[in-house]
Amino acid sequence: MPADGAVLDAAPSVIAMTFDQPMRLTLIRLVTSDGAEVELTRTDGMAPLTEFEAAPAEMGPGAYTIEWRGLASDGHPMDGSFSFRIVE
Amino acid sequence: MISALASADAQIWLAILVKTVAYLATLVAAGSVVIYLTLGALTEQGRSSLRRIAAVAALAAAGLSLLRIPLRASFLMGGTVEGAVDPMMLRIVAESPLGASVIVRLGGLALILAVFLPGRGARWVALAGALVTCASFALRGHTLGEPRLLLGALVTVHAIGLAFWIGAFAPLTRAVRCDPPAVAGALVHEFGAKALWVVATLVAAGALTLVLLGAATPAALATPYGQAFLIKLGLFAGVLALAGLNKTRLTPALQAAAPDAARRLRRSIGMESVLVLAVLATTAALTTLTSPPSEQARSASQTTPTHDSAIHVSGDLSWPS
Repeated sequence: MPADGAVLDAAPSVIAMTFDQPMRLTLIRLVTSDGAEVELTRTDGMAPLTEFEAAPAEMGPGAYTIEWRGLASDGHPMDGSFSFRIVE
Repeated sequence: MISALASADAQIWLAILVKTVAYLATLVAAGSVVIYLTLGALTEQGRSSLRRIAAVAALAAAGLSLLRIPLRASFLMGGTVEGAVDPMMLRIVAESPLGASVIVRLGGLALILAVFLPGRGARWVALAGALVTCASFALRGHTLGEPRLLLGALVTVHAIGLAFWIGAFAPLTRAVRCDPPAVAGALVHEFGAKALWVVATLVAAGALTLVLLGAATPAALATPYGQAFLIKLGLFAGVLALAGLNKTRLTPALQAAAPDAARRLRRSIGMESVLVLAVLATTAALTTLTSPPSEQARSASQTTPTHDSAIHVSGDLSWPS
């Protein structure tokens, strides 16, 4: 936590997500308010996980959105997004 | 449910459309074989026509079912064309429940083509293909929850009942248009008598499935899943009303060679088929956009937060003062 819509005064070093059943995260993007993509380094190898972490590249102040898509263990395709803001 | 549809993008709409047409082709293929083997009043021309319909529908269903794999791969990669042809993504989808369902369905559809072979044995192979094809619906989606075996059996029975009904539209329409009233009337009468048992079984299987999915309560009916089910129920009530009219008024009129009876019955069957298509489309939307209350309750009851709320952003963070 912070929840969706959080306001931070420092860039996070890790983006983490927790799922209640194993999720194979097939797509995750970190984008700015201008639509520019920020590099995310992931090491999960797209394996089904309940705990996911990725390291973002350097981020300055501004609004950011995480967009993700994945395949749950029961075969359901899922997607979601959440946003946060970094202030000076 | 309506708001979910309104906010759906083009890719979601395409997925629903492909799923609907795949449902239709699959059930027509399986249903044509079931009708071929269960209605003794079919003429030889009717049987010949049914064989062709089964084959065309089986081939169409096979293509549409296979199409769902790259569509799913594309979705998982953000709706891109590259995702649709990415080997790793295609492998992931093929290894998922969707892939297993498609493989089983392809096997069933292939066996359906045995309807063209001579001999009684070939007919039983084709029937086995129809049953396997219907069982493929139980290998993915919400029926993968518990009690899995019972849910799978109920969905299979429900699909077989639907296949029987949908498979009859074309041969009944052909008979009413081409055969003498007495011959067509005998076929429609036989279908109506057998359909009573099939509909009762179909409704019972569907109702029990709803109970097991936790969707048969007043609270559940307020959810998007419940709303979609109510739409489906309304459409089905319309189908039953038309079927009742066919059985009680139009079929006796046809058997009595009443003037214009054939045209009126043909039109009624046409309307019935449109409503059934709407039921299939509603089911496709329901299974694409929503989940049954039992799955939602399972997610909410766990102490670990769901993906919607457990988004952790960690590091050297401090809240602004």
